[in-house]
Parts: sequence; C-alpha cells; structure tokens
Amino acid sequence: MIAPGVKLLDSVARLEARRDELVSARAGRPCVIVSASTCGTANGAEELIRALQDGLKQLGLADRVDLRVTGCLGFCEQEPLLIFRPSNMFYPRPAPGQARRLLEESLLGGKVVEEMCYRDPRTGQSVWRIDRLPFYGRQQRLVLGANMEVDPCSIDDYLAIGGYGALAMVLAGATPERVIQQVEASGLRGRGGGGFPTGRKWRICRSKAGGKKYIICNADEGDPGAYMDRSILEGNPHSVLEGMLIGAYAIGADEGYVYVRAEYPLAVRNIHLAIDQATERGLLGDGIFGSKLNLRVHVSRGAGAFVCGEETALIASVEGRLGTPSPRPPYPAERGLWGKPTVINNVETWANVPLIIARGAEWFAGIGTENSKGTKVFSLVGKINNTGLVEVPMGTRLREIVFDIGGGMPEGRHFKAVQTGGPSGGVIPESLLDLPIDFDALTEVGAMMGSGGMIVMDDRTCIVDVARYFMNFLREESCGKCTPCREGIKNMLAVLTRICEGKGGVEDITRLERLARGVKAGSLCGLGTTAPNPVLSTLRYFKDEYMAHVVDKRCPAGVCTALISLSIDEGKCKACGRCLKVCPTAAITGGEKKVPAKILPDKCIHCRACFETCPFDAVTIT
Amino acid sequence: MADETVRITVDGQAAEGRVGETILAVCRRMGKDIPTLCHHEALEPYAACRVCLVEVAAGGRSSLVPSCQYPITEGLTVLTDSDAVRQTRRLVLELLLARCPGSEVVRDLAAKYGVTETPYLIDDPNQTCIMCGLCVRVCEEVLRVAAIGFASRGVDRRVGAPFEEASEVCIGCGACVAVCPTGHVRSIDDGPLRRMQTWKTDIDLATCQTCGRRFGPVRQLDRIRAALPPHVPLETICPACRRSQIAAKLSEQATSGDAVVYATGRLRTGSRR
Repeated sequence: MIAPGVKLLDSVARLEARRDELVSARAGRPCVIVSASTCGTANGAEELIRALQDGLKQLGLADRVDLRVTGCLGFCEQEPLLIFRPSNMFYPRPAPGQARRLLEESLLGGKVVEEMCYRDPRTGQSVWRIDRLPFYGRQQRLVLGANMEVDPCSIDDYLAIGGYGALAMVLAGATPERVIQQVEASGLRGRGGGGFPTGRKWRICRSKAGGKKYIICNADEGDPGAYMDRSILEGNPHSVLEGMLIGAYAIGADEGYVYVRAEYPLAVRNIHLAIDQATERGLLGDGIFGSKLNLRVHVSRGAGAFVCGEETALIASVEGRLGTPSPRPPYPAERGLWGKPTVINNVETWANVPLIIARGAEWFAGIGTENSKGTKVFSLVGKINNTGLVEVPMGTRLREIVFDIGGGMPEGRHFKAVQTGGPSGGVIPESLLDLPIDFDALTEVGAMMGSGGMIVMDDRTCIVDVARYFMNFLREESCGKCTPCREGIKNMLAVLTRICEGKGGVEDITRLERLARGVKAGSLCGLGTTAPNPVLSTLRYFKDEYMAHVVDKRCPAGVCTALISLSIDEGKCKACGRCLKVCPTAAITGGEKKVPAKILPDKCIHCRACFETCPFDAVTIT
Repeated sequence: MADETVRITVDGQAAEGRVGETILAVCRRMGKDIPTLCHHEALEPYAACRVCLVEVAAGGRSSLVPSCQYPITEGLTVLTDSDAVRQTRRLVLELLLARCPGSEVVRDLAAKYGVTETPYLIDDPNQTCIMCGLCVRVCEEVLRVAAIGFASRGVDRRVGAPFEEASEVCIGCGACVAVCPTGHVRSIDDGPLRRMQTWKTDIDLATCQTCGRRFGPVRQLDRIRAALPPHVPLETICPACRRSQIAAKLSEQATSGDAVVYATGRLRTGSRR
C-alpha cells in the first residue's frame, strides 16, 4: 500500500533524484534542532518543543525555519540540547519560557545569550558552538553523528544525508561475495559483546546451501547503565535497516527481525515507523531497486529477560518459546531461527555496515587498533561529570574517555575504577587508566568490551559491594537452566553478602574464587561463563579491599553499613540541625543552638543519611 | 560425499564415531564412565546438568563441553578425566547436593565422585527437583502434549503446569514420573482418579468394560483412539482382561491350526513358532 503523495523509490536513479530534491529544498534554510529521545523527553523536551513551535509562529518564522526533533545527541547530562543552524549556536537544557527569547536573539539576531550558554565545569569557560564542545571534541561520531541530522520519524531526513546510498551502491554493482569481502576487510567485529568478526559470520551463513535464511537485529540491550543501542534505534533507525538490507543481500536472506526490548517504547515506535516508511517507498519488500533482493522485516518485542540478549535464547524467544539458551555448536549462522541459517548482529554493528560500504573497507580499517577496527560507542555513567554516550576510535585510552571527554569525577572525588561490559565485564583499576581500549586489551585485563557500558566509580564506591550488586542482578537474570550458573551465582551472592555484612572469613575468599572459576568453566551460555567476571576482576585488582572486610572488619570506602561507624567532627560542625532532621533513629544529640552534634553509637544504624546531608563534611566514616 | 566415519581421540585412545554422534555416545561405547543427569536416549540433548562435562582441545585451546550434546568432529581430542573436568564436576555435584540434600540419586552420584558434603547454601532440605527438565521435555518432545513447562527464572525456576493450576491438557500418561531421575515427579492411582500430585492435576481413570476395574486414564485412551486409524477399534479393556481375551483367542486358533492373530493386528503363522 502506498500512501498518497509518497514516491516509490524503485530505482537507484529515483533515490538519487529524491535526495537531490530534498537537499536543494533544504539548502540555506535555517533549522532549529531539539534532541528529544528518552533522556531529552524526561527532561522536558516536549514542553520546549511546544514553546519553540509557538515562538516560531509568533515570529512569523514557521514557514521559513525548519524545526527538527532528533534522537539522543549523547550529551545526556545536558539534554535536551537546543541547536540553531547554520550558526551551530547551542543551549543546554533551556527553559521553555526562554524559547522565544532565544529564537529572537540567537536565531534571528545571531547573538549569543551568554548566561544561558554551556559552561565547562572544569575550566568555567562558556562554550556557545556545539562543534566546539569539549565533550564532542575528542570523539569520532561515525555512528551517532547522524542523530543530530535526522528526525528519526522522517525517512526524508535520512535520505537527505545520503541514506540508502550504500544499499544503492551494493545493488548497483557488487556481488554478495564482494560485500562480504568488504565487511571482512573492514575488520568489523560484533558490537554486542563477543566481538566475533562480522564478515566471517556472514560468510559462514552464506556458505550454507540455499533456501530460507534470516537476519536478526539484536536490540535486547540489557546491561545496567548501557543504552547506546537504544539511542541508535531511537535516533536513526533507518541506518540499522540499511545495514540489515545490505546484510540480507550478502547472505541471501529475505526475512528479518528486530528483537527489541519492550522497555524501550520509543525505540519500538521508531523502528516500526521506519519499517513502514521504507516499505511504503519500496525500500523493503520485493524487488528492491528493481533488483532480486526481497526483504521483509518484523519487530519482535522482548519481555524483559536479560538472558534473551544471548543469541540462542533470543532465537527461542522470537520463535515463541521460553527464552533459554541452547548449547553451541550449532551456531545460529549454521542453524538458527526455525532451524534456518541466521545472522544475528547487534544494533551498533548493523549501523556500521552502511558506513563501511559507503566509505570503503580501507577507510574503516584505518580507524582503531590492529585487531579492533572502527569506533565504539560507550555509555559513560556513574560517578562522572559528563554522563552520556561517547563514540571514540578503538584504542582510545581509558584516561581520555574518563577525564577528557567525561570531565572527571564530580565534587573532585578520586577515580577508583571503571566497570566495562556490564555484569559480564570486569573492573579496571586506576593503574590501568592508560590502557588503550579495544576488544583484546579489555579481555586481557579480565574485563570485557561487552556492549560498551562504562560505569565510573570513585573512592566512595566499595568494590565488594559492586561485585555483590552485579551478582544480585545476575541471580535474578540467570535463566536457571544449567546448574553452575543457577546455583553458583546464588552462592557467590551469598558469600559476597556475608562479606559485606561483616560475617565473612578469609576462607570465604577462597570459596568465592573457586565458585567463580567453576561457574566460568562449566556454564552453558555466555551469561554464565562471563557472570563471574565482576568477582574475578575485583579479586584480581582489589584483594586488599576484600581482606579489609574479612580480616579487619572494615569497609575502606565507607559503604558497607555493618562495617562502618560514624562520628561528628566538632570542629567542623556548625550546629545547623540538618543531620537531626534526616536521622531516622534519633541517634544524634545536640546539633542545634550552637551545640555541636554528637552521634549516639547505640542508636546509630549506620544509614549514612547524616553523612550525605552534612554540608560541612563534619560527619566522618571510619 | 565425505567419509561418514569421524576419528577422535579419547583419553589418548583412538576412537571412531559417525558424523553427528555425540562425545557421550562414543565414550559410552568405549565403556567410559561419564555421569549424566539430564540426558535421556529418547530426548534431544539438553546440556543443563553439567555433570557430563569433558574437556576438548581444538586449535591450541581447551574448554569444557557437555559430552551429551557436543557433536564429534574429525581429530577432536577429548579428556574425560582431566583436572579441569574433575574440579568442575566436583563443584557441580556440591552445588546439586546443596540444592537437593535429600535426593538419594544426587547423594549417590556425588558420593561416587568423592563428594559427601557441601559447603554451599541449603535453601530447602526437602527439595528434590534438580531442574533436569526431563519431565517437561518428555511431555513435549515425545508425547507432544506439553502439559507442563518451566515457570520463573534463575533460582526461582520450577516445573509445573501453566499458572501452577490443574492442567487442562495433561493426559495422565505418567511419562514424566517415569523419566524423573530423583522421584520429584509423583503420581498415585486413587480409586477413580490418577492423581498427578506434582502437577496438582487429577485425571479420570477409565473403567474396564469386562471386569469393571479402573485402569488407564480416560484422556490418554482418547488420545490413542484419536491417533489410530478408524478401522482399528480401541476397546476400553484393562490389560489383564485383554490378556485373557487374547489367550482365549489363541487357544481357540491353536486348536483350529489357523494363523495366530496378535492384538497388535500383525500376522504371524503358527508354524514359525
């Protein structure tokens, strides 16, 4: 069904004509950009958009200025961003009430409204041009960059930046074999966790004798604090579809699935919209660009199980079966969805494919390290100033990501460690800050690339508590099929909890190590074999902290409530009374009428509420 | 086509198998003692209990794989009793023993490999389910009934009928009871009912047309009847009565010298006996 007014793009010539038409219609037109994906919307982007629409109308600009609502621009700490084109002037998180003023003064008048500009927390300098923002300065945003240029609900926006051009190139003259060669030569490795060479996976699948084949986009992003795939799917869904089309052509598939978490409603909506729009224009369906390529793409929503990101569990879930993993071999590329050869790649991997085709395998292979090519998107979260999505070339040093791009720790705290790869990954201590981050380097130090989560921890983070947190997450998310994962994680959690509660002994550390090794060696799927990583890597780099818990019965970071005691430094206490108000057990005397506060140890439950509240750092934890 | 025989090495001994065969099948033929809990000849490999792990080496790297599922490939080197195998198997048995301290099967198997006590958490001393999934799989794969399945995940995973209510589709055949290695799945015939106790499901037992006794579950007989061609009637007769009916028929035919007709409908001549 073609909606009225929609032009069928049934040949490369028509695609190019449409692109030229769009580009010339937009040339020279000013544009107002607002980022409104999940993070922007949560910070009030919708109200801002309404205010901008009203403002444009009132100023009589509605027909002369484009308003583009985009996906996530990665600078989550400051979303929604308001950007004016062509000046590139930007304002972080402007109040909707200021919209009209900014339109008048900055868009029309070309003037920078200094007091609303972004200020670099480290230098105190104001930055008014988006392209001069230090956060972006050291990034190479190959995959995420387009998020600023497209409204994810508009296929025209994607076409205008050359979208589906890579597909056109492929269908105009490259054999499937040639496509696979290019992807192999590019050195692209799977961005979902394992880092398997994408081209090799495609070749295995292609080599399986004819008949039905499938492609799947894995958008079941489940690591705590990781959301790069969501942002790509929300912000630029057509790039993923274009990658899937090229992949389908290369391996000979005619049907595909996007398996996306139901907890990502905006991503679900946008990929549905993109599929509809592409189908309307003949970019999905039969005989794409007049070629023999047919592809239908369905959306399958995940029901909230972390383990369904594991490819064999994902396949089971798409088939309507219980989402539990099966042993490999056979690998999905040999026997996958409904028993047919299937290529599963994650969102970011698919989004890289059109770039490789359009700009060449050599270009791509020129970025990154020897065995890890291209860029990687990391979600930088935790104790960090610039929370956000960061895309850097493989091999970028951790220090650069955390301090130069991430802006270091808030409140001048000291860096302790970074957890990469989510619950399957491990911690990287300060001594390894100069590690060039790529697949192999991370694995070597006992962590993992995973899907690219990066949780930054400062000196107030207890490493045993971190390991306990991840074991608790995995205890709930293990599917429970195989013995080591199901029973082993439960027991690792029990040991860690015991240690955090001050009931652990030295023998618990040996027990923990033995459990971790056994679960790693004996589990059925990737979830189980990587589940002990948070335990093993914290034991590797922070054994002292474990020992402090079990031998000295002390939590050096002051987190484990059973192992700390709180006291008030009389010299620092200003008797402001704030701690009195927050103490749930009335364990504080004094603290007002110029009498310094004092904690009654018998009543104190070590909840740290006074510590968090005191504005004068008068509460000390020992 | 390629040679159908695959040559592998098991604990230094040369061995052969067919394409598609598992390590376990080859090892059992060689007389190797590899324990299993979730494996059953009639079912697809499941690879969940992990007591059958063996070490395989390929391309300079070695890893532990479930022998019940891992297909042999040319030149594969298998170690069934390496340090890694022994250590991991021991851990798995300790964990299983902590899960099901009361299960005799688990205790015996653990003891066989030197595990008589466990340092791990015992949540429920009465737990007998080892999560091998045999009951669920036999019901689905062999019976094609799928009356039971798994609920929840992780440590809370358990077997049961949907919503843990009485099953509407269970035919009471008892295959789940028969395959359960630990006695967790139980049923009892109680007057007119077969009580599938573990599934909280009662199934009516049919009454023998001849002697009036209760015997097979009605739903199972219905299912068999539906599967038979229309010209083969299935009468509601208990096994004992059917035996005596056949015996009576046999003696009648034997005296008349005719061919012997078995209850199955297959024909054999009397002389071949």
